[in-house]
Amino acid sequence: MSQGPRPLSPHLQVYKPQLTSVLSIMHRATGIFLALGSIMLALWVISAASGPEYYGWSLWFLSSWIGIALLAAWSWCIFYHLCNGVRHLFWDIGLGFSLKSTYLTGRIVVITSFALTAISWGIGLTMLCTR
Amino acid sequence: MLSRVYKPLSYVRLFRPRREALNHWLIQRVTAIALVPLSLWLIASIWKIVISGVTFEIVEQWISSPINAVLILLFLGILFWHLKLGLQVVIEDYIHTKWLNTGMLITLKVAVSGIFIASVYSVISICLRI
Repeated sequence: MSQGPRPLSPHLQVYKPQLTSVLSIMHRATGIFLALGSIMLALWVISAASGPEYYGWSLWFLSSWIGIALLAAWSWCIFYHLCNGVRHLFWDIGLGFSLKSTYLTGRIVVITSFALTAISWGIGLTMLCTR
Repeated sequence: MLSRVYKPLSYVRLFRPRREALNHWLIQRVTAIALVPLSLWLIASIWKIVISGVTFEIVEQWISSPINAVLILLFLGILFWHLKLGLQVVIEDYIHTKWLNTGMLITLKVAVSGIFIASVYSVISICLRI
């Protein structure tokens, strides 16, 4: 008897998006995007080892508008993945499992990630402009 | 007694995946905790480099300072380990075609090892050059 393709989880498309599920998907999405950032970081170090000409190319890319947009996105992703990662670590030791605290910590993670990104760019750009 | 030393294949098959899963889970958490201070240090360092001009000489000097070099190497090792474990789970969860799943997992291992070795070699070569 042939049984066609079996249903596979996760069934993302049949769920109504909720804060909890959206944050969970964002954790993976930021993780994948940060993997690209890690490759960029490695390429930057490799270019510095390859001499001024190659380093110039990576600097040209990173200081272009697309490079700066990527750096801005990566910086928020680091803070989000870090904060939500800490939330996961608390879950691992059995804390914060109730529905109420899951939503509360979820909101804290989102707000903190944007706040830390703003603080980082605020301090950085201020020091850059007043050096 | 002998069966304790020469574990039967069925025993290994039964318990190896479980131990691998535990190792995966544990290493993912340990690397995550280590990456908290290391990534904050990296962000601060990158801002410092940007503020002092991002020239080739400044980056060269920053990487070749002993403390920075050690922290960069540590960061790269822990980062790529954490990255490999994370992407491995994503592939295992979403790629259901057997040959594609296996192929992507092998590609991941090779690619992560390659870029890790290349970046570590680069840091060391910058240190030796200066």
